[in-house]
Amino acid sequence: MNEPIFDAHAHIWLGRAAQDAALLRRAAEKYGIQKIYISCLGSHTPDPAEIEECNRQAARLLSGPLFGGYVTVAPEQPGALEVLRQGVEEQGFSGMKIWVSCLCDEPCCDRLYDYCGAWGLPVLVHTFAKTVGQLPGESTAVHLRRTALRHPETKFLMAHLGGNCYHGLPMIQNLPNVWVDFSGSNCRFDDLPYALELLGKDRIVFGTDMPGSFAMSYGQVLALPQEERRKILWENAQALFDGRDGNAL
Amino acid sequence: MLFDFGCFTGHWPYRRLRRGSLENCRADLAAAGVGGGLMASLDAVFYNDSWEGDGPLLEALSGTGFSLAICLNPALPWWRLRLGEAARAGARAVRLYPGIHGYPLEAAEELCREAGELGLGVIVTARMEDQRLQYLLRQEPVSPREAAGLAKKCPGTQVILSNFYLSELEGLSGENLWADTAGLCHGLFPFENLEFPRERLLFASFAPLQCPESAVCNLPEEQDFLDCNTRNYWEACNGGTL
Repeated sequence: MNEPIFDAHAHIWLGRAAQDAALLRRAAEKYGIQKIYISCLGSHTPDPAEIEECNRQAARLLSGPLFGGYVTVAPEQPGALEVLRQGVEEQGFSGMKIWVSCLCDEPCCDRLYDYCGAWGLPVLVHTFAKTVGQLPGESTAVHLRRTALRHPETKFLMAHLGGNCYHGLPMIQNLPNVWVDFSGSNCRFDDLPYALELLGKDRIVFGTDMPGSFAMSYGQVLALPQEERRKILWENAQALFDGRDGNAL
Repeated sequence: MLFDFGCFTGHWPYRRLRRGSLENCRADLAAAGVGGGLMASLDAVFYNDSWEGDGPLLEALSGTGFSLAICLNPALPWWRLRLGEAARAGARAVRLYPGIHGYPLEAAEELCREAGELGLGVIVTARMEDQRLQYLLRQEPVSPREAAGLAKKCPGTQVILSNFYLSELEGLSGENLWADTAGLCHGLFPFENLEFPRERLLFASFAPLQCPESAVCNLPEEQDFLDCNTRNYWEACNGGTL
């Protein structure tokens, strides 16, 4: 495969950040990945000190050309806006990540989306629709739909195709400010073709969830026609980030 | 070309499979570099008498390079009848779904022994899909230790652990114990961290539930060992080739 690859959804994990970064670098070399957007995650409900440490770990990797970063934010914390501001304006992040500490449509998130909208920063939202074990703060595509309608000027990246694409994708089909990635080990054979059928080829970006998963997503794009592959592997993410990672080909 | 020890065809009750027909399955597997395999009927998993799904598939697979892995539930009284019929008709393996059919693996010992006597291997399915996406029928976890124990109790039968995760295979081994690669599609470089004998690994895509290219792109660059393992499996199974 000759296309450049932009992985818009990967992680390093608190407590093993250096090992994860090394794994991601190896994967980049092996598979020809030019850009990897990471966020650092720890516990499901982190305190401010953990958030600070997560972002410090991720920021360390942002000086070179390979990594870009999402600021990890726990929106329910009073200092969340300052964490975001500092991450973007001082630490070199160019996106925001919301995981499972609170639902993405809670009012406390609004100020963060306003900031991201004003700066043109994408918001990566973990979404899942589990049949067992859904976490109290784990957003579904329904939450993201509400959010995206409330913030039409902000760009959102719905992770994991919503966790179950047949539930998630129809929710955001008609929302032009929502992109999707098909990262994660839950990605099934039919999921990407269904996403293409429903959304077209311009709002789907490649993501893997490395280091937890890779092949489930990567294998899906190998069978695509070249134009769709190029858009999904690189061009759509460039559009999502407005080329701000400085690595445009 | 790869030989696929874990591929399927048919319908899946929890979501619509767009590529589930035999024609599509064969085309997708061929495109991913798979030349043949042990194919199982997804329909048969849910039929009271699984032969209703397996019988037509066995006929349809004739001359394709794929053979049937028959679905049997040892808790049903007619398993021995179906096992004999299937073996005579050319099925080459038995696939068990203890997590779906809900029996302890010790209940499969007799079946496992008799399958081996007929030259059929037994495939123990750990899971069909990500647990987070299962619906209505909860699939009970299948213990890898118990699955390995089944192999130990039935030394004349080749037993394949199917779609077990990397961590679940850790430390398991046995002279008649094999594992397929379907569950290794998670994480980065899983083959480097595998604590299961490499010479006992068999390729499986789990298509059309999982993407066959994902299973293939995940393999180490040097894949000759899989051909070698496939040959060794068949020799161990029935003293010959498929």
